[in-house]
Amino acid sequence: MDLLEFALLLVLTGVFAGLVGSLTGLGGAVVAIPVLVIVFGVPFPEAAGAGLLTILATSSTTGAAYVRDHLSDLRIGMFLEIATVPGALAGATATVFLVHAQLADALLIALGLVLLALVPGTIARGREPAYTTAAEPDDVSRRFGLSGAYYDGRRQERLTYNAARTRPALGVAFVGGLVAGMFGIGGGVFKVLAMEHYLRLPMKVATATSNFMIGVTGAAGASVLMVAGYVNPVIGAPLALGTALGAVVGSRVLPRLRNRTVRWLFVPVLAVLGVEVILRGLGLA
Amino acid sequence: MNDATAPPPPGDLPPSVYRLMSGTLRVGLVLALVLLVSSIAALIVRSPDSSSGSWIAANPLVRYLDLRVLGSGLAARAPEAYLTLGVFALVAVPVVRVVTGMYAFFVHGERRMGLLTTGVLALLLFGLLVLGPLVR
Repeated sequence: MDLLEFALLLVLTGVFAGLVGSLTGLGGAVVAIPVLVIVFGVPFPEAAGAGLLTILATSSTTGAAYVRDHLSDLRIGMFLEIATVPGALAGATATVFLVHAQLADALLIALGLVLLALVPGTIARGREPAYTTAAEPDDVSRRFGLSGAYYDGRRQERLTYNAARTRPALGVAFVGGLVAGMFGIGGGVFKVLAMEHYLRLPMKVATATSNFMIGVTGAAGASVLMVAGYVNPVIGAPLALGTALGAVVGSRVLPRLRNRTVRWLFVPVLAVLGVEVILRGLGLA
Repeated sequence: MNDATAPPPPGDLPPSVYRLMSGTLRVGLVLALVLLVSSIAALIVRSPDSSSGSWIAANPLVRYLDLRVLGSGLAARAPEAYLTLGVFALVAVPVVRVVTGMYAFFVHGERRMGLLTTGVLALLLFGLLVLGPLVR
């Protein structure tokens, strides 16, 4: 494949990944990395490095839109970053060591397992009732003023929210950072989980804040993988461009979608990619 | 309000902060993408017959991680050097966003959030300047 054809195919892959990643708040890399490995034959560490570039593009694009619309909660985003950034640094460092130890295939299998593990959680969260009332804030939440309000366009009312169980949310956010740094994915599912399940935020605020946050997590992971030589811009640049385009479309569609629609859009894609990545890691595909 | 018993949200940051942060992300991203796309286009024009496999195998960024080499490459208008600069810009966008947030929190009297954001910035710089070179 010549360079022009390669770049154009990467842009198209990025558009699809950016759209899905933006709509779900999980980051386009969750789709882009397995596709790079399965379709383009890119080695895992370079795919992870390219994935981090797509995260940076997605987050800057959708983050800008969500911040402008006051849908991202700046306080809560910054608060959780104190856990996601050290997680991402630890994860990226672990990946470099595992690749040096010739364990890249094991990382691929682990990535596939992570993708499959996301499936039931994604379906279950889709069955949860829509956000109705603000939770009781805990002491940390009160101290940092982790409360807010947003206008829900579909319900046509202004909803307030308070961050509830902040300590377990920080733990989940750390794991999200770890996964992001290790596999090059945004770890958005963990951030959304931390914000929806523990902080008890409305889904749209959680998704928008996750998009806002994943750029900083991605920058932490990318800083380690880049210096280690695993961020290849010839792969990452066209992918990041496509992802940014897909994310722009996604951020415009999100406010008009029902929560459950967003979930079901993503589940089949996630399952297929997870299985394929495991087979590739086992040398069976 | 959907729950009369919930405490009211704290004073929101002024709209100018949201505009500044949104603008920072937008401008930074456009700058980075312009650098990345124009560099890739220059590579395609310069080496139209080069295969994707050769670019996957030889990462052009590694050579330009040395800032002196990067400077020379930029002066020589090497597409690979501008590609590397584009990656640096893309990584820098969220870091600048954190700096913007830190500034906004301190200026609006939110010392606790300002300190927390300073901690996030310190961790990012630690990763880039200390941890990265250590594990290389």
